[in-house]
Amino acid sequence: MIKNNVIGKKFVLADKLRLEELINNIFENSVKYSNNNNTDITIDAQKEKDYVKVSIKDQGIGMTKNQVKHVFEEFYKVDSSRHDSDSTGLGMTICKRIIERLDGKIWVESQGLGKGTTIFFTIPLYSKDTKIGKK
Amino acid sequence: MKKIMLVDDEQDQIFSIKTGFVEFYPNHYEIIPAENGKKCFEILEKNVIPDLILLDIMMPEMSGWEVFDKLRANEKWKNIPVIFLTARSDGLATSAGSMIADDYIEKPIEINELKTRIDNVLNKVKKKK
Repeated sequence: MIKNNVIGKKFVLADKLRLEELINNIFENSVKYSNNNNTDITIDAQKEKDYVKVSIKDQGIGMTKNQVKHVFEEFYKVDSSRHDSDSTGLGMTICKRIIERLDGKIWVESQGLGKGTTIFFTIPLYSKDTKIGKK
Repeated sequence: MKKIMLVDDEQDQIFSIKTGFVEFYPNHYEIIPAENGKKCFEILEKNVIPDLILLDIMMPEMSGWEVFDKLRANEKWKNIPVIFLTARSDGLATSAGSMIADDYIEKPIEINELKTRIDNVLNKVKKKK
């Protein structure tokens, strides 16, 4: 079940398709590594200074410190025993690139194996000084 | 609330500007979107006369120049102040836009700068009256 804890609107200016790709990749990972156990996936978004900080928390298989360290590397799969033909191991690498283009940051936290994973990312909020339109 | 018509073929840009004004300057302007020149004139024909028009120059079918000419040729619409929106790389549009329109703004634009420029033009018009 997906729990939405987001309160109020937070505006960012970003390419809609890239943002959808980012969210889809993160949710796909969260669902996949929850092993379809009907556990909760919780989304939250908080304003922090000039940024919005989004978190997507699952209660899935979790990660070791070493896995957390490598999760954004190309072709890296957290669960290597899973020979999932649909998975390229590029999802999180793509997420990182999308976020970096938006001048944001992305990182992963986990308390360890079996303890779930939280993916965080930040994106600059739409402000009075945000540049609109192409040069 | 002043009515500002925004004529721009880029829907994302219309959404960004409209959202920016609603979010940062609520109850300041009413933004009337028009996705092209044809739509702009359809709205004007319905006697919805804005206090100012923000007019993108690079638009398919009818360019901002053509829209501007048509506005100035019409008795009812010729006095509506116009601010051109131009691409920074378009030097000709920038210089020509600054000469014939009430103002011109190079993209990318910031919402606070846009508000200042709109207010300046509206104040000038008010003083003339």
